Amino acid sequence: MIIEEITVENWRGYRDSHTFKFCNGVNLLTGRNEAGKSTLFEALTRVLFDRHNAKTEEIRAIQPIGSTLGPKACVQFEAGGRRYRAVKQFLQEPKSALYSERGGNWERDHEGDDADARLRAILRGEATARMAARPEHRGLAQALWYLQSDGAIPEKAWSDGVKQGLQGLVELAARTPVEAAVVGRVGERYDEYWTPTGRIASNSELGRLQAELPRLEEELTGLLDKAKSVDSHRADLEEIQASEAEKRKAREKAKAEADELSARVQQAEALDRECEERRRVKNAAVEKAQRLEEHLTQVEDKRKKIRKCAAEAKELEESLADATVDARSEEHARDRHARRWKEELEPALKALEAELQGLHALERLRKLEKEGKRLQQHLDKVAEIEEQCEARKKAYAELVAPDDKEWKRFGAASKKLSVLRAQVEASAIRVAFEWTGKARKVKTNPALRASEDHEYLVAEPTEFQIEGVGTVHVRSNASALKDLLTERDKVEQEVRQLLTRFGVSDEDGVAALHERGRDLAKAISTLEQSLEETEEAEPDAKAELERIKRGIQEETRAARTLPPEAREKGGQWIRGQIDEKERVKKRVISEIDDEQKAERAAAENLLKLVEARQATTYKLAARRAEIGTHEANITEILETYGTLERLGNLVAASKEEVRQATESLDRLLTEYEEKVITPKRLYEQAQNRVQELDKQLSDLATKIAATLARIEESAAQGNYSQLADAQIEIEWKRRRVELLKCRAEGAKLLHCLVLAHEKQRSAALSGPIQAIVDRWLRLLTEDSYDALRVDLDLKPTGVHMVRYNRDLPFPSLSHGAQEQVVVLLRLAIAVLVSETEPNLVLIDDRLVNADSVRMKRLCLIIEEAAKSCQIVIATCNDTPYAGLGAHTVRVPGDGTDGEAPS
Amino acid sequence: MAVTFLHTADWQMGMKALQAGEKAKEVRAKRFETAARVVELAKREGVAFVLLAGDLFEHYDVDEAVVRKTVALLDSFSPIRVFVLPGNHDPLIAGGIWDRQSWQRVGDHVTLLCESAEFHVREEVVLYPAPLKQKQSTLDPTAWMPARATGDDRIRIGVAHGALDLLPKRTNFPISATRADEAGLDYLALGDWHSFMQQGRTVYSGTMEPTSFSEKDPGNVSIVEISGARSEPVVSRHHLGALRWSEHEALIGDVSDVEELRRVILRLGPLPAQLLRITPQFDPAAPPEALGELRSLRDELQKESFHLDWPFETLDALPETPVILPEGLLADIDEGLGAILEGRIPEGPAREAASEAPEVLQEARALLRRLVAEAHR
Repeated sequence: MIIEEITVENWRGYRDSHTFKFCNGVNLLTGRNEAGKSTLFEALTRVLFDRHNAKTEEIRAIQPIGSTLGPKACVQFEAGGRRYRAVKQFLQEPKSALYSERGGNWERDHEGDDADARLRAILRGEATARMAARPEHRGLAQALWYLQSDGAIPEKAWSDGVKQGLQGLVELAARTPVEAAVVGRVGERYDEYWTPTGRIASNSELGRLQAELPRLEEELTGLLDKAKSVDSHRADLEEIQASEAEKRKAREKAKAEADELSARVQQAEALDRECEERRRVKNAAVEKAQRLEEHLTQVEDKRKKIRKCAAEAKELEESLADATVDARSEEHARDRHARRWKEELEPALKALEAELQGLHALERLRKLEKEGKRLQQHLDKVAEIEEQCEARKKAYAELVAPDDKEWKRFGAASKKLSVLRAQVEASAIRVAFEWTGKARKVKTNPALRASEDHEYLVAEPTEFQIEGVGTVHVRSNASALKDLLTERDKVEQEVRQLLTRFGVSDEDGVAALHERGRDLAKAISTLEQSLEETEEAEPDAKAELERIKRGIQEETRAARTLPPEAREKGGQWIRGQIDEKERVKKRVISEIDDEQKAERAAAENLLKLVEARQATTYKLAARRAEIGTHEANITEILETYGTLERLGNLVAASKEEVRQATESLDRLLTEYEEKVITPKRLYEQAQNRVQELDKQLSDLATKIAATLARIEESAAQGNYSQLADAQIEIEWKRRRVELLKCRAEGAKLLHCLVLAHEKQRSAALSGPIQAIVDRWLRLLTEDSYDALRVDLDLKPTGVHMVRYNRDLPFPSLSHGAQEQVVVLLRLAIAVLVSETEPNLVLIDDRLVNADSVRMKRLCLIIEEAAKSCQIVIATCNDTPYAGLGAHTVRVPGDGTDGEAPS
Repeated sequence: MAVTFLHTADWQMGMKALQAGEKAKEVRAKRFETAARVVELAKREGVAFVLLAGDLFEHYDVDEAVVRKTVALLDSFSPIRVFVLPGNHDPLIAGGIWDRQSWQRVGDHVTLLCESAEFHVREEVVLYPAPLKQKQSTLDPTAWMPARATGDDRIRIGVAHGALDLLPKRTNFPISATRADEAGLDYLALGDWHSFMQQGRTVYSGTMEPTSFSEKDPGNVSIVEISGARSEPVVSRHHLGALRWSEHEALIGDVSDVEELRRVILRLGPLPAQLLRITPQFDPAAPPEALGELRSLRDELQKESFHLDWPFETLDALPETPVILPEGLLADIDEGLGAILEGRIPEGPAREAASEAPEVLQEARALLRRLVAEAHR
């Protein structure tokens, strides 16, 4: 298919109708940026592949801003040797029509949806729902049209339209609908089981079962472990029971042994009795020998003690005589000392004390007399102050004088009276009558009294009735004056009352009285203070004086023991006498103490000597008694045996008897050891073994019970049925997994076979394309890259680097190089599919990143491709394409207004 | 002198019933119901005693509830005496089932035969039990049974559990087929073989309720009447089993094969009592109608039977309609798979699939044909 012309109207920037014409070979669609180049390509695709009644956002965006008219376009093209004209209007009054040329005339063949469907059939496009057609819906144009809105290569495979176009070339049978459906279903079935990376899909039944099985197997393992644990208990139990059987056997053996030994012991009972008899004889002999030996020892011991007691008694008797002599000597000394302090020193001390008592009394008498005199003087002074104070108080009581408060009140009233009087004087209306002729009698209502100056002081409306003349009415500020007068009278009365009370006539009198009262009060206060201070100096002076008087009487009586002349002496003499007597007294007391100490020492010595003599006497008596006891004991012991010598003989005989009994017993014991002791010991050992085994058997019985309990506990938990249920679940799920795995593997195998066949087919498809592209690639890159690598879907995966003999992944190429390679690929496809009929190639400004050298080479390649197909290149800069000799189509935005409007 | 007793064995109480899948619990419960019918039969027939010749329990680890229910069942035999022989599933081992307290509570009329020694049932009837004390052995447990002494006119009955040496591929606890004659036994009651089998005086009663798909004639107990010493025992078989287990590997060539399969199954008894395992084999030339019929049969069995082991996926082997493979890729793949299945190495990409397992190749080919058939619809 090649395009001849396109007309657009109301299409984005093309509000008016514009027609653009294209020729075979290379067409350069030039114009500035946003001039409308891509808009023309868009109009081309929408007219040829979109439903005319589509109303998606993309279609709505075509309508010029502010316009309500439907976008409209007409494309005239040639395909399959026939010329067609497709007309479509979108949105408002949408319509579609397909015309074909017959005999130079255009005839409308299809309208509406039929026209759309026929167009898609001609161009191998695919139907869409209500949306705008995507690149994959454009059939072969998906590969040949490289628009701004399209990616460099499709995300998925090339559309079937592209493949069909290529299949025709390589003479492979086209894919039938059945094959397409089956291949699609094979992929779907594969996807049911497998992920794109070849793993079992986790959301498939197989995936879920495979994920579930390990958990179930783990649970089963746990249950099997429990079962093994029970088996282990059972093995333990078996061992324990074997051990129990062994021990039971051992016990039976030990019991039999014990029984046999017990019989042997019973058989040796006579020997046992003989042995007992000899043991008794021996014990009796030993007892007798011990008793005799004990008696002999006792006698000898007591004789030793008697000798010892006699020696001690003799020593005690000598000691007793010495003690008696010493006691007498100490008794004499004690009596001598006692006589001296009692008969000589104590009377002398008493006489001295009597004399000293009198001297002390005399000395205290003198002091009391002096103190009594001082107190009497003090009392006299107090009496004098009291008398003066009483006199002042009496005068003050007799005086009638104002106190400070009354004085202040009087002063205030007097002062206020003066003020009121002055105010009355200033405010009052004075009415005076001067008579010419005889004075007339004036009568006032209310009644007023004339002053000394014959003036009436009018304080209120007053009617003056003048005899024989008439009546005069006087009015003034009467109410205020009247109040003043009332106040003045009140104060005057108060002043008068005070003067009357104090018996004076004026204010001076009151002042004099007030001054006198104040003087008397002050004198009384002074005297009372003096009296208080004097009394406080000696508060109990009277009582003290009385006590002193009584002391004087007592001391006077005490001093009567002194001679009369001494009682007349003064204090100094008395003090000298007292000191002298005290010294003598002290010396006498000392001598008394010495004598008393000596007396007590002698008495104590005497007492000790008496006590020692007493003790010695007691000891002596004890020794004598002990000797008697010992002698009695010896007599008692020897009473049985006669003499001590006989007793000694008996002892020797009994020892011999013991020796013989012992020898006899030992001989028998040797035989007894052999026949009785050893069997008895063995019997006890056997019995112990039996007991020990009984204990062990009891322990084993406990262990057996415990192990059985553990086994039973496991059974009670239902482990076996749980295990069965788990095994069943796993078994059935495993079977299901096996079945599904077989199905999955079958689906996978089929999928792989489909892919392998498709790969084979793709290799057949891609071979011729790669041959062209590789040649162009070498030209473009000056042999840097010599081959393009493509996958099964003819999508570029990399380029081969000659220098390194390695493949460079496609994404590693620069953006410009990627675009150039894609352009080469699309051009190669176009060349191949255009062998029988030229096809349109659109390149929307895709080579802007090529440098000038590469651009020249690209131009050579485009020129070669244009020999078999129509190429339209949109560009804003036609300079790089200058050497192409291309037909230039300018868009209106370029200022040339393009081709002439249709 | 005559004696009549009931001979049963292999009750396998508490068995796992792995093959019964989700119906395993119900299968276990059915055994108790059948055992109750054995009790009824024993009382109805007025037998002197019951011989349980081993494997009363499936395992010595079975749940406590199973032991308690079994003990209750045995108690219900009272006053009929019951002699229980430990088998290879429930041998007399330390800590085994017979040590359980719940077993110890069984009634006095139940006797566990613990010793390989003559046991007097009554004056003129003696038992020669051969209790098993381990799970496996290659020794004949009946070897100890003494020959009949001259003048011994008692009825001598052997009780044992093991495989008669006549049985193929069974070596555990082998029992001599001539034991009854050699020991002068009037009857040798055996357990272990789940189907009924009589060989002279030697009899397997079989299990009273089937346990798997592989058993031929299970579900029976025997009533044995012996009129006197050395007389022939009269054995009457009583079928008490509730369930019927059967396995079918039908070759489906056309619709009539499906019909035959249906008839065979229905002849076995009512479907609600049947456990079925079906693995149909398809003739590649089988018509699609046969598949349709087979699907119908499966739906019917799935709905009606006690348990059906027949995955629906096995019916995907063939498409329901004839398939015409279009020329090109699909035909090439089908041809390649067919070549490998026939043992040839194909040309082209299918060569890579030559090492695949046949079932995978079959599955891939079946899937391809199904998808083509679907695409044609």
